[in-house]
Amino acid sequence: MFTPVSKKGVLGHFCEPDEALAAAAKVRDAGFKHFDFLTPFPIHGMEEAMGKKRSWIPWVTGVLALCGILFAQGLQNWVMIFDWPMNFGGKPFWSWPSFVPITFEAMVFWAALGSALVAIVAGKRDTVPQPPPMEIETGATVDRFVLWISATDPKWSAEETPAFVRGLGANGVRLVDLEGGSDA
Amino acid sequence: MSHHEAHPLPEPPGRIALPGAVPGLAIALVLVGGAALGWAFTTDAQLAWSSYLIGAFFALGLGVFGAAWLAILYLARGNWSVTMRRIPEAMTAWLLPGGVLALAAGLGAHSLYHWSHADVVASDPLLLHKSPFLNMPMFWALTGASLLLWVVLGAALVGVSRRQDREGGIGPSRTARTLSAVFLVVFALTLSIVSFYFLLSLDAHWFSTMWAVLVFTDIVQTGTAFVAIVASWLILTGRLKGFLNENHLHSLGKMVFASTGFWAYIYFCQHMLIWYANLPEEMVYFLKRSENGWLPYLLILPILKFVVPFLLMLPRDAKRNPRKLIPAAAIVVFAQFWELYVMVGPAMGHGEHSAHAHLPVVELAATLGFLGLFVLVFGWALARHEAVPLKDPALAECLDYHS
Repeated sequence: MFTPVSKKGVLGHFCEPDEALAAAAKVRDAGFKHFDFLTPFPIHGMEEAMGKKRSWIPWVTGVLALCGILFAQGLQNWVMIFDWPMNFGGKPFWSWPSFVPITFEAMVFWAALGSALVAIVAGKRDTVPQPPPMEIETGATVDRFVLWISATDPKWSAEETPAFVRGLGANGVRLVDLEGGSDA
Repeated sequence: MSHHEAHPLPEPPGRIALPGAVPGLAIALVLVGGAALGWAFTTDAQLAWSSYLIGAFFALGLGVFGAAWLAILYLARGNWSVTMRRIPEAMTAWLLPGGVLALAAGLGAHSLYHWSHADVVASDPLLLHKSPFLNMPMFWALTGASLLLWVVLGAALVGVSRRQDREGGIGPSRTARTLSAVFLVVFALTLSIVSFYFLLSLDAHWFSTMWAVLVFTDIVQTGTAFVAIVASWLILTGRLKGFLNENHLHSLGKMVFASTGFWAYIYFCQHMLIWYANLPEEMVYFLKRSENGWLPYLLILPILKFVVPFLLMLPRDAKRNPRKLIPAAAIVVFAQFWELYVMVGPAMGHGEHSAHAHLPVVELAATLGFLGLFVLVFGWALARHEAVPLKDPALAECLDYHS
């Protein structure tokens, strides 16, 4: 349930969202997988630039919506027709129009709540190893667009990767190494 | 800002005319519709006028949607839509000819509207009670004034855009927003009037507080679908290359999709409240549409208007891919004809002379004729001006749009 943290990697930041987008595309094209951008607001087009695939969460939403429909229909039909039938204004026990609002609400409730929970859990599990929180520039929540490449990436090289990030035009590039190595 | 210099403006597309086959097809549709109406007028006045009303209201909805859509987007600062603004602008060109044609349905009031017969009203307490509103002078005055307001305010909205084409600057955008706020208030009132007189008063005994919002939803659903078809065509042919892409189409597709869901919500609301209360004076609307063979036509309506387009447009790609959006939007446009048929057809005739359900051949031909005429006017208006508002300050934001 906890966000994975990598103790080693490189941080650098950009001042404009467009620079961040261009840099993300270059990091993607260089073949890196364990990298992330920490930005003060969502940047349109970042998913494509980082090479992220479409999320599978909509399928969860769809399946949960169908489950919600089945649950509400099952419950109402069972209660209103078989378990505790009551006469409302002389209407038939099977009064489908009165079931529709509940079905709709249950669909929305199951789909929305379920998607949010699954997204939170899956987001923690599927994210790339993050930088140690105290190492991140505070500007990442204000006006800086922070690039992080984790040392867990197969393409990582302690010598070349910081130079590569510097070559992208990043500012304040620095190597993070909390593993206690003396060669940092 | 520095990063906007990274995107030089794409080559301006100039003016855009509809492809050669479309005006030809539209003229053919007009001829077919005219011939069908002409035949109907010589044989069955009620069939002719009901077909005329369906077609005229169908096209009028598309026309007034142009103005309403402009106003909604100006007011909501929907800057994603700047490069497709010419589409709703061209749709408003229909308001003048279409308004006159719709008003002409009043000439057939005797065939269409029960309440226009003085002898019937005199012996009918309910109609007598409603007669201060439901009478011909009031019909002409109120619908005429409403349509005139649409023409004037629609022209004013387009005129502001023309001024921006000449002068540029943020000034016209501000004026357009003020004008839009005025128009939307006027539109809410006048659309109620127009939908009450033309459609609701067909069932003069009946009433529905959902009616105006239902007709509004119809107009938005059909109108966004029409815009989506044109925008898809512009993307497929590459006519607005660099100005219009799948991100813009995605947002437009979401509007078609949302209004499809909203239609189901509104139509079901109207139905469920009536079903729940079970009052004779309210139930009559659905009873009439369940007898005389109308039930299948009523039941097909939610399938055509909601179930099929909803499922077709549910995937993300269906809203971004023009080839997938066009068929879904076309079904929505056809469904609007179907709904108007279910509104108008069963209301014809009364008591023993109630209309029986029939395949809407003349009705469809008349509607296609009006659609053809609308497309001709639309194409003429579209080709008159530069296809993209190049001097709108929000253009850069629109070109950068992601969805």
